[in-house]
Amino acid sequence: MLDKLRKQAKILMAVDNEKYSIILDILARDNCFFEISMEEALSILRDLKVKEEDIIKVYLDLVSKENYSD
Amino acid sequence: MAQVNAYESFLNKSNFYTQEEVAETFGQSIRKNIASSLVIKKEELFLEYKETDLITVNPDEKKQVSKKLIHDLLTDEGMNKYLQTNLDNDLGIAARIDFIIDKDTIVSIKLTRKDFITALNQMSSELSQKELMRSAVIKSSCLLFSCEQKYRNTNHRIYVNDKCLEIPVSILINILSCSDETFTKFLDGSINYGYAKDILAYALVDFVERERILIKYVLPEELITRYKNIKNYSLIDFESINKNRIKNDTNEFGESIIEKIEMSEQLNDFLNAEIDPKYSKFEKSIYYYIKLCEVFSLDDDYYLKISPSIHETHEETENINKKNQYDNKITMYEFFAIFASILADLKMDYTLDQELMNGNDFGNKKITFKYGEYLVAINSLAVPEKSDIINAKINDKLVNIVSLNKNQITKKKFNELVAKIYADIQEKKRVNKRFKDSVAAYKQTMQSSKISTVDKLYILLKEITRLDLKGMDMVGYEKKLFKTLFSSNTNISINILARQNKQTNYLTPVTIISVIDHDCTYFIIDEMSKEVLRSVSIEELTSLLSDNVYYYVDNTEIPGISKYVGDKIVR
Repeated sequence: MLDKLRKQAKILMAVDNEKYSIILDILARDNCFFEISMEEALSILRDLKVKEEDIIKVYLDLVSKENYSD
Repeated sequence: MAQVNAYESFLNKSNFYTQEEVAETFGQSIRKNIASSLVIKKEELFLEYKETDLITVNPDEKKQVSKKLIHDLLTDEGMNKYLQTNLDNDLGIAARIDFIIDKDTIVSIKLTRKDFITALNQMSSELSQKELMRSAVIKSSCLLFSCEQKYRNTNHRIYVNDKCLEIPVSILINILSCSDETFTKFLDGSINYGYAKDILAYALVDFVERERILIKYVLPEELITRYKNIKNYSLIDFESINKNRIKNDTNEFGESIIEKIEMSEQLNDFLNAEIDPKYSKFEKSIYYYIKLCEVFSLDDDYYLKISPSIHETHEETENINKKNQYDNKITMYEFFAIFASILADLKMDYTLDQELMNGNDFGNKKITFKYGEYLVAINSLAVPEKSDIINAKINDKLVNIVSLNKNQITKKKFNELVAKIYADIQEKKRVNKRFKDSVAAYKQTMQSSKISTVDKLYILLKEITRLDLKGMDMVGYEKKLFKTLFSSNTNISINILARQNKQTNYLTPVTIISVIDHDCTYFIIDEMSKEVLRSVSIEELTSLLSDNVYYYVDNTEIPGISKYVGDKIVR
């Protein structure tokens, strides 16, 4: 899922290079969604054009144990 | 003494003293100084042996010997028997001729075996038949062949890390004397003698030194060169064998100080937060050293004030165990005690400097440790202008962690390894800074939306119950997820307690989430309950603590609950 979001951010750089460069720098870190608040995370997902009805599901996937490493 | 006397009866008494005569003439005290010498009576004879008809036997040392002395050692019965006694006793000196000026002044001519053999070789065309025969016997007894014959069915015993090994001497001699081609194959591993190369090198040097092979036998120059290159570790690095066997970490009662060191949880988390799991134990030790330098600072009070009570405080284990990134003022004793405990956990051999244990923080090699062929020292970090405690913070070159290996290749490998790990750490710092700066920049522009506490708790519960995690797996992930979900909620806190599982007698973790508004609302996550997540009143929570259903595991307090209610688990 994280790789998909990174790809999406790269595509959207054509629309707003500065904003999506910042988002890409955040997504560069594998555990990034554990290092930012839920509010910030949902905002990033909205900026990456994740559908509103899917946002919580995508977020749950990103903060699931399978994506967590020490 | 009987052996010494054996040749004395053959000596020309007009030329030489016996040992008894020396004692009578010059006093008993001089006897030990001339115990293995021939003592000349006449100065003229001594000068003849010293100065006439000289040949050079060692050009490097400009060593010369008189032909007359060589001739007399071969032909004079007493002198020849004296010579044979020395050769049979494996003494390094073939002959020593003394002239006593007074009881405090003795002048000597010393002839090593090698000097003697060299002289015989140079004089071979001048020797009589009798001299040639005696010369041949002496020379053959000093050859490598004689050495091989003497040791042909023997083993040489060595101890490597307390393990006893018996290595056939024939293998050791073969390594020393084989052709260059075979020796090259031995060095590159193409030839295997059944033992690791470094162990064979260690055994060879041990054998040669203990049996005094270079003194007893005259070996070709190329063998001596090969031996020297093995001994100085330049061909095979075996320098670390049997090093750091003694830790030197005990107090005056013989108890290990380091075994009592228990790193604080915060320090442990800090050290392990971003360590590469692929690092070897040795790489980890270097990584931890650098991180300790980053997190600690020299204690001003300690280094500016000199007071015994301050020293004692800093040597107490309890104080050392509290050290972390927030309580980070440190002395060298504390630093090295913590580092030694890390090495102990990694099962690496180390030795603490006795001076450090006696309270001296300055100087070199405060701790030495080894891993494989690497021998490492960490020198004192107490001098600010030369301290890695400063260098690690400003990304300057590290200077206190050094390789002790004499082998230049090992030294180079070590320096490259330290540089690589240091670069890894600096790169992570850059990435982290970039991440933090990016999050801060994003926050400026994001459109924030409020997410209710209930929604967040729903996510927490859903995730935890989905996975059916147990024990510390659950706690670790739960704490991380809680921090992520509730980082913007300052009115919510989390406490981890413990519950005793009466069937298994193990502890299982229990999580208390406190939501502080006008009053406190509590949620319990308890894997042993029917409802894993449920809300409880303050009264019920107080009762669970006072009835010892739940225990505290640390000194943190639950908001709204008196700290005098409930007990801390004692493990």
